[in-house]
Amino acid sequence: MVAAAVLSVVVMLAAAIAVVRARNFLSAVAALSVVSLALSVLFALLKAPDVAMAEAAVGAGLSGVLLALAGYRLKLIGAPAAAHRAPANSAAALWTGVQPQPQQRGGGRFASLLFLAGLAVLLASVLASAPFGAAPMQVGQQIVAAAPGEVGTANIVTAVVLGYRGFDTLGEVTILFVAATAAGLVLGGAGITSGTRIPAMQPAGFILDRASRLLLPILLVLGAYIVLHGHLTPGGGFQGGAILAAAFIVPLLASPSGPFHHRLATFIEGFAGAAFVLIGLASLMDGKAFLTPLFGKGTLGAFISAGSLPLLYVAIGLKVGSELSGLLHRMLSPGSQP
Amino acid sequence: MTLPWPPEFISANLSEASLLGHAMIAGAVGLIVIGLYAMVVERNLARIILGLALIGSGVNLFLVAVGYRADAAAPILAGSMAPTAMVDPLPQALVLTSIVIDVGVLALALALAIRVHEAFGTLDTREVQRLIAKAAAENDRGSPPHRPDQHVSPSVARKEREKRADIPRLEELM
Repeated sequence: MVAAAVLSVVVMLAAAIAVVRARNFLSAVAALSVVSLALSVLFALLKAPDVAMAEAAVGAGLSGVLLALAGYRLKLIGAPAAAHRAPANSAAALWTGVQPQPQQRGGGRFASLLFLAGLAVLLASVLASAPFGAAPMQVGQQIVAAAPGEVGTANIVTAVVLGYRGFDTLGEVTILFVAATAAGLVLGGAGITSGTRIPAMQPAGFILDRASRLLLPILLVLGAYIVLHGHLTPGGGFQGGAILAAAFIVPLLASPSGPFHHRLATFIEGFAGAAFVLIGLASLMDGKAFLTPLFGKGTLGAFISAGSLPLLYVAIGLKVGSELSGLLHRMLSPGSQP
Repeated sequence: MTLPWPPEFISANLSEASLLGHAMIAGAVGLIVIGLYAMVVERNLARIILGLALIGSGVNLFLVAVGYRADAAAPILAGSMAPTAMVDPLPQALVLTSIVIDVGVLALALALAIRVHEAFGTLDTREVQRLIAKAAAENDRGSPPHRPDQHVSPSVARKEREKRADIPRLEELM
């Protein structure tokens, strides 16, 4: 296990250096996905299967697609005309817009490297002072001891996310909503003001097109399974929601002009957010605190158990899925959305 | 057969758990520092955003590593098994939400970069700074031809401004 961890760390750091040093944007994005994959292996080795799944689905999958689409719109990818204009001998030829770097003064580069080395030593010594292998907090152990009896979830991370810290999760969903809305707002008028045309994407070949359509039902079933079993097995609304978003985005990547119901996505997003809050308010009606689990806890490990927590995870899954797919679609199609 | 690695003087000092801990901390610090390098040294907005993503991953790794316990199970009960020692579920729950927030932040940063690219035609932060300063200076002077090579002393600039009738002077306003 230690050997696997050391190997993953080495791969991860090498890929991180590749992210910073890569000559073109697409390789940098691919290297970032490698970092996320190695990171999810490390999470699995640290016995955090929920986090490993989230990192693999969101970090290695969706954010890579997000970056690649943004790179396309920034003309860092697939814009032969732009690459043509840049001097061919410049290493930054594909990072359009960057002037051929004037040789940075040796002093400046040396100072920043010195600063970073010092920071690394400082960070390492501070972080190493936290005891490893013996969880320093008491609250975690108490939650582990109490959660099966109090909340009734087999997955204790779910008990924390939705039960003990449900209000935090509401705040987190709100942050995601605000970020997605702001990104949509900023992108809304893009492509109109300056009159720059994004070159139309090449249609995919037959095999890619059909295969992406075949993937849609499989990914939908997988995503729904992961969302619905969030209280029993690793996974839940966040991981399953990311897979649901991927189910709708993969066919769109194969044929960018394909249909996507933005209005429907927005409706599902609003509906799911309202459902989360309404379930929380329902426990107020019952005379308990906001977001207290309802309906009793059932038998541990049964599909219908843990009260209202699975409903909350369904709401989160729908919200994350519709939000991320809407976000990616907005990156994909410039100026189509007011 | 025993492997020659690790050598005895290392394996005597390092238990398996502490070796794992050192590897995790090296990974977290490495990601943070490499990401910070990209943000400090690079001038391209796209690379700065990639650096931001790396720093977020490093912090997430550290948080999960803090909750790790040697010889403990993942925080999931299987069947009717009696609860044994488990790793701390609290940092895992926090990181779970943090990963999703990171994507939102990444999307917002990319959207802003796209707008910058459309407005200025470049992603170079210094170039953008120069263009903004130039636009501000032109706004200030009512857009006469801007010649940065010609140094104007403050007193001459004030006299020139006073000559222009369209800018009310302070005394007139009071």
